[in-house]
Amino acid sequence: MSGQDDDYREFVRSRAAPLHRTAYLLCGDWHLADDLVQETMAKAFRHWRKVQRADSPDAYVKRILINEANRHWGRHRTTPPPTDLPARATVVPDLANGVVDRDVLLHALLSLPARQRATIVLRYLDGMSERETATVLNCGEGTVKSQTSRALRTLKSLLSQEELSL
Amino acid sequence: MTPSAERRLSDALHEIAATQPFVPDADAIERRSRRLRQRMTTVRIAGAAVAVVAVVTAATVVLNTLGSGHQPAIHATHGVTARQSLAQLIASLPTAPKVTGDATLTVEDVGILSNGQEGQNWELDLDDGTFYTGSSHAELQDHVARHRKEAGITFVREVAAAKYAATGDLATARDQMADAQVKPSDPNKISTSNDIGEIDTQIWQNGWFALTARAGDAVVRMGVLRLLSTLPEVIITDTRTAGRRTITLTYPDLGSDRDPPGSTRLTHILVIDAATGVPVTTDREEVEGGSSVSSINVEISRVTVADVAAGKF
Repeated sequence: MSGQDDDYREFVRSRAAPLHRTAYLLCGDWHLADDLVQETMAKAFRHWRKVQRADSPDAYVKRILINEANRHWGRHRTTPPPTDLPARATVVPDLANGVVDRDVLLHALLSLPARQRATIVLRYLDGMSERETATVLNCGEGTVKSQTSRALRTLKSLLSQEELSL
Repeated sequence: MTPSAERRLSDALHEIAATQPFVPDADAIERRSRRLRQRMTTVRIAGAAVAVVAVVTAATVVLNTLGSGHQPAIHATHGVTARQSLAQLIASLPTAPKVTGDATLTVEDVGILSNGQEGQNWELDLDDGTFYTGSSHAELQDHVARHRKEAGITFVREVAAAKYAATGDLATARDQMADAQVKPSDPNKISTSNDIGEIDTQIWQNGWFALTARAGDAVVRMGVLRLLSTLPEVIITDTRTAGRRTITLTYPDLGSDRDPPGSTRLTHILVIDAATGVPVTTDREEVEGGSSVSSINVEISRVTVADVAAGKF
C-alpha cells in the first residue's frame, strides 16, 4: 500500500464518523447518511491530491458532502425527509432548560430550506465559524448571518407551535 | 435567540446525532470511487456526443435586465437567434395548443448506491398537482396503479408565482418566486436579501420546480420562462436534441472569491422544447477547474397517467 493510500485511509478513519453525524442532520436518515458519506469519501479519493492541497481538507470534504445532500434534495425536491430515530432517548435538553422531543426538533430542522439547514448544522453541530461556514457553503459571511437568523427564527416558531417554548 | 439558547441548540443537535455508530468501510469506498470514475468517463463521452449534435446558433446570450425594470431585454455578444427563439416561444404560449399527455415523467440517474447498484429515481407529476415517485419503472407503475401518491399537492406557491409572472409585473413576480419556499408569516424573505445572487438562485430553483411540476400548463411555462429571462446569469443557446429544436438555459454557479482552490461548482442546465417550452432534460454538472467531474442527467417526457398505470411508458 502506498503512503498516499495510507494517508487517505487515515483521513477516512478519522473523519467519517463526524461527517456521518453531519450527514444525518442534513437528511434525517441514517442509511441515506451512510450513502452520502460513502459518496463524499469516494469523491475525496478521486480528488485526493486536491483534498491534501486544500487550505482546509475538512472544509473541502464537507463542501462535497453539502453538495451531495443538496443534489439529493434537488432530486427529491420537497418530499418530506424521512426520519429513523431509534426508540430510546426520545428527549434531549431543550433550548430553554426543559426538554424537547428529539423527533420534534429533528423534524423542525429538516423542515428548513436546505441552505438554512446546512448553515445550522455547520454552525451548531460542527462548531464552524461564520467565515468557515461561508467557505463551505460558497457564500459570503453576510449570507451566513442572514441564513442563520432566518433558520433560528423558524426553528423557534416551529418548536413554539409544538408548545415547546424556547 | 440568546447565546445560552444557542448552546442548548448545539447540545441538542449533538445529542441527536450521537446515537448511531459509524465504521467506514474504506475498501467499499475505494471500489465506489473507481466505479464513479468509470461512470463519469461514460458521462463525459455521452456529453461530448450531445455537444456535437447541439447546434449552437447564438454562442452566448446574456440576459441583462436588472437595471431595466426587470424587462426581459437581452444583450447578445453576437447573434440574437437564441434570444429571439425564447421571446417567440414566450409570445406564442398564450395561444399554444395543449401539449400531449396529462402528466410529466422524470427519470433521473441517482448514481451508485451503497449496494453497488446503479440507482434511478422515477417521478410522475400529474397536471392536477398529484405526485408519485418510485425507485424503478415497476415501482412507479405499481404506485400509480394503486393510487399510492405522495402526500399533498406539490409546489403550490411556486406554481402560483409562475402563473402571476405570465402576465403580471415581473419585479413583483420575482419576489413571489424567490419567497415561494418561505412561510408567509416569516418576515425574513429571500427577496429582501442584499445578495442578488442568492435571490436569483432561488428564483431559478423554484422556477424549475414549478416548470417540472406543471409542465402541462402553458401559463406556468410562460411565467417561468419570463422569470428565468430576468436572470442575468442565465446563458441561452439554440440547440437541437434528438432531432428537435430546443432551447438550452444554463445557470452557472458563479462561485465566489472565497472559494478554496479546486472547489467544485455546480452548473444547472435546462433544455426545453423550442416550440412548447416543455422541459426535455436537465443536467446538473459539477465543475472543477473548468472541467466537468460529475453529472446527473434527468430525462423528462409527457405521458398519460393511464399509460403509466398500465406500464406503457
